[in-house]
Amino acid sequence: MAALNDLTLTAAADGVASGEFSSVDLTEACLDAARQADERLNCFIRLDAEGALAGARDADEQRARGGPLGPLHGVPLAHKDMFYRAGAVCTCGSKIRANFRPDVTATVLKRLDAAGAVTLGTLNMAEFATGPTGHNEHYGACRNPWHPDYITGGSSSGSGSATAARLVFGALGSDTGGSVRLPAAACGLFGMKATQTRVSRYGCMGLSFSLDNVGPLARTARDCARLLEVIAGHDELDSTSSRYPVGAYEAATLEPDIRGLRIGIAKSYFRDDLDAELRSAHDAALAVMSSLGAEIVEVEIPFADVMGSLGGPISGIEALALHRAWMRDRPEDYGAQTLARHTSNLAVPAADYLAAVQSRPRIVRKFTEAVFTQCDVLQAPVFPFPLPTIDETDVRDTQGFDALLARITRNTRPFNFLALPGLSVPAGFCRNGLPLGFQLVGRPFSETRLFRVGAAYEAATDWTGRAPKN
Amino acid sequence: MKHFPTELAADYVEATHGRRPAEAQAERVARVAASMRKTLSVTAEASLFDTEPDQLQATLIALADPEDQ
Repeated sequence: MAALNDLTLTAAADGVASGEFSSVDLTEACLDAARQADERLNCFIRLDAEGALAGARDADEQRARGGPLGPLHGVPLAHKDMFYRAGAVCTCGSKIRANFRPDVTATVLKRLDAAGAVTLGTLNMAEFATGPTGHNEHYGACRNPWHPDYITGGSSSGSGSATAARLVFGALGSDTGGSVRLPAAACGLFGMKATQTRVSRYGCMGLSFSLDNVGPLARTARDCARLLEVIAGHDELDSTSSRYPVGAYEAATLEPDIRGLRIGIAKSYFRDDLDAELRSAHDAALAVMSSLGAEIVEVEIPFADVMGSLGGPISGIEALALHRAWMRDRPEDYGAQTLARHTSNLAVPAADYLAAVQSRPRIVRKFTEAVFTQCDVLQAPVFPFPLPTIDETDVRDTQGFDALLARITRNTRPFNFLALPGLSVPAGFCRNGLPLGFQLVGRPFSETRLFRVGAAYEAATDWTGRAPKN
Repeated sequence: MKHFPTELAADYVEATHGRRPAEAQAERVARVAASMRKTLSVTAEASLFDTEPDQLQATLIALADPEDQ
């Protein structure tokens, strides 16, 4: 019998609900795995064994009493250390907030609690979610479970590493320029950045309030869909959250049918300069979808010449607004990469910021109308090259940092500006043994469709059945 | 402005932030300042009065396909 922590999230929830095993059994399996792996992977900032076991015992007692069971009842999760829980330390991956105890609890955590989830601890992340690799000067680099010399992707590095290593059944991350989709792709997971406004940000550390998204990472499309279904929807505490109805995401992953669906590949930008090995892998993925009855069509991409820079003035200035007092008063407490990046943003004029913000709805409309009349779902690589090692990307504040940042996030950050949903889908492995992934992008609020396509592809391949060696 | 002098960038950071950056930092600031000129010229291609930030939510809902639910 497979170890309990090797189960999928939905199988784990089913097992607890049916009494096949207890939440304490599940939690102990995850804690044992975490204790064994964390020295190698460094994915936890805080492992809370006592709190997790107390939560698991509560879950088991509630089941024994015949109480109502939520869709995550008794299932251990852990999240990027940037979601506030009243009274608990939330470091945001920083030295500056090493002892920060918020007095509110994030809506997404409340929704996971209400669904019955058990919290195992808090996960490593890039300092203040500012970095796409998984480096962190304060808590150490997070490592990829498929090979610890390689990056996890970031900024939700611990979320990717811990979920792929089977230390938890799923995790929340945040995505301002790719920070859910990048670690999902790097660690062989599904990761969903939903439509901007789909998930409440109340009680979450802010980086860029126009572009921030909270999203789940999980090992299967169905697991990921269940997590999104729990956290999505309007929140009275977040006026930017949408009242648009939440879809039946998990149901869309069951017996998915993509016959007749038009899958678009970009004629420009997203496949420009794509590494040859990745191009072959992505073509193979498209062939799988074609064999399932989808039609593969080439798509003209509007704004291709500026696709990479659309969100820059927005994320830069909004991050600066949050950080500049600390930058002035406590510059020595920042990591070199983070401080360098924020300092550069001092040069962005207010007029540029406002121009970018004001033009956003118009560009979103033009892009959506142009692309999603040619296809139903756009497929694009997440990383445009095989994963690099941690040492290769340890550029700190050198001249190489800007270029590295731009290269890693070139295919993910446009969809933050465009506010469109993007699902990162595991698509196999490179010759170096590290995972690769593609993203599926659709119209606003098309998460159901994206999960359907992702699940159909997953069912036709065996990528998510593979586990990293311990 | 294609080029933004490093010295000017350093002066700018010092004036607005109260700290003079290291030379490497000032070079980064100068590079970002120059690149922003290009972004602005493209995103401001048309009138800025046709959209407002508050319209993002309404725009997203208008573009959604109910069949996706």
